[in-house]
Amino acid sequence: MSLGDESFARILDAAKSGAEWAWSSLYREYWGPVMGYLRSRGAVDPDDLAGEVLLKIARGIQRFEGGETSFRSWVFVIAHRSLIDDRRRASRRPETTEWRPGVGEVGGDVEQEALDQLATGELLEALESLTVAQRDVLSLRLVAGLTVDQVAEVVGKRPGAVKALQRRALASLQKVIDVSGVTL
Amino acid sequence: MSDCGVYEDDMSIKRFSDAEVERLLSGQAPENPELALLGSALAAVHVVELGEPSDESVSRFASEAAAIARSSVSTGAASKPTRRRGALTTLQERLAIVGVAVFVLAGMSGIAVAADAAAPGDPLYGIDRALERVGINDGAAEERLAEAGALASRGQVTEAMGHAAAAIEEPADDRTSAASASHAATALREAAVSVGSGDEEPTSEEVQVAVSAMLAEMATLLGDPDLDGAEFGRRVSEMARSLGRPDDSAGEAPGPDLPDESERGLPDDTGQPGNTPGGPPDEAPGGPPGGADGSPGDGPPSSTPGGGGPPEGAGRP
Repeated sequence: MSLGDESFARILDAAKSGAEWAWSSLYREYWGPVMGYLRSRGAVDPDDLAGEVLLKIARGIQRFEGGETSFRSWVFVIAHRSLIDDRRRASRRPETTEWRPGVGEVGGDVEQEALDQLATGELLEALESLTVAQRDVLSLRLVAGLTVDQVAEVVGKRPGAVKALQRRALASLQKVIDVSGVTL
Repeated sequence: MSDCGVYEDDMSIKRFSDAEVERLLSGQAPENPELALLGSALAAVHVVELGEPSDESVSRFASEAAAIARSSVSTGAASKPTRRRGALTTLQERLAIVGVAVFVLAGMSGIAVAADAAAPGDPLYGIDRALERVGINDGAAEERLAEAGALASRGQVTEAMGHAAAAIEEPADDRTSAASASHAATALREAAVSVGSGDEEPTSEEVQVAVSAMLAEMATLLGDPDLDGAEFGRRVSEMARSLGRPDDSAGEAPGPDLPDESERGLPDDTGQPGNTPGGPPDEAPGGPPGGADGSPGDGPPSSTPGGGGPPEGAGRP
């Protein structure tokens, strides 16, 4: 999940000067989380949108200064804004804010099995019960791998508000599990 | 599932200390055994959501991104002073770019487009109308096109067009603009795909060169502050015609649907650039149908602004 600070600085320099190896490395590192975040948050065409986000990174890279932590925040600031634009574009359709775990999309039988073993239906139902803001935060933590402070930066809230959102989100999920008596 | 009261809610919240939340969200087992199932579920989501990109997509992206980074090193400083004069013209500009690009691509992939007619119903009609209103001086669009040109010159025509499409999807000012830009981008991307995988004519070197030249020229024109919108439109139209012109034999074959019309409203009404019932007033190529009288003469409508076409915005709600 991390390139390491020293190698990140090297990769960033190389990426700025247009070295393909550096962009390969950044792409491999960030495509999964970005794609996962967009998909989990109901992007219309997550693959496409993830590509756009990463190209925006390429366009803005000359202006970026900082370490890997702030780079990650920056990537997801862009991803989050793109997602909001995507939602706005798609607003003719019914609300598409449901959490959509990428069942069968990511490939791997292993993941599929892992998910199958869980009570997928109940999990989805539980996720549906969350607010949009709660799901944004949960996905940024869980899928994008951001810290509370990074999430706060991405969604434009204070860290305390992010903590409250994630806490409440988890409590809501647990409540559904309690009530429905789901078993593994 | 959600009929629990406030009291129960509070009880439930108490189980989630900061430390417990951190454990759960980082995929570790929670301390409280009651939360074990939740922990497993969250961990599974975490695993499932993280995919690996294919090697092919990595190398495609890497070469595109590297080209962008290089081009922004060389053009970034120079183009900065002229950037972002205002957002008012960006939608029209973007639509025009797309319109032209789609036109060029259509011409090159062997779909005949009647270049001189430019009457309502003709793809060029909408393009010309859009071009007339194009604003210039948006450095961002200029940069994007330069990047796209660089890609096209390396033979990556599909990526280049996709890149140009992305330029239109930069955040728009309001919902209408965003929706239109999105349609336009979709149309462009489809056009790019059809060129990239063209049944009739695979992407030839000739196409690459032409697309690259076209994009580069458009970028140059966009950056010229002395050109007004009409002049810009005229120049680009001419260029499009000379580049993309097929043999003039089949004048009546329909071009591709114009960007912002597909998907809007009536499914059987696509490809009619001048006909958008109830379309929002600020959409560029949406001039009322029947306004222009076919321009049978030797010039496209854009070279004679106002001649026959309704005044901009006239008769709109």
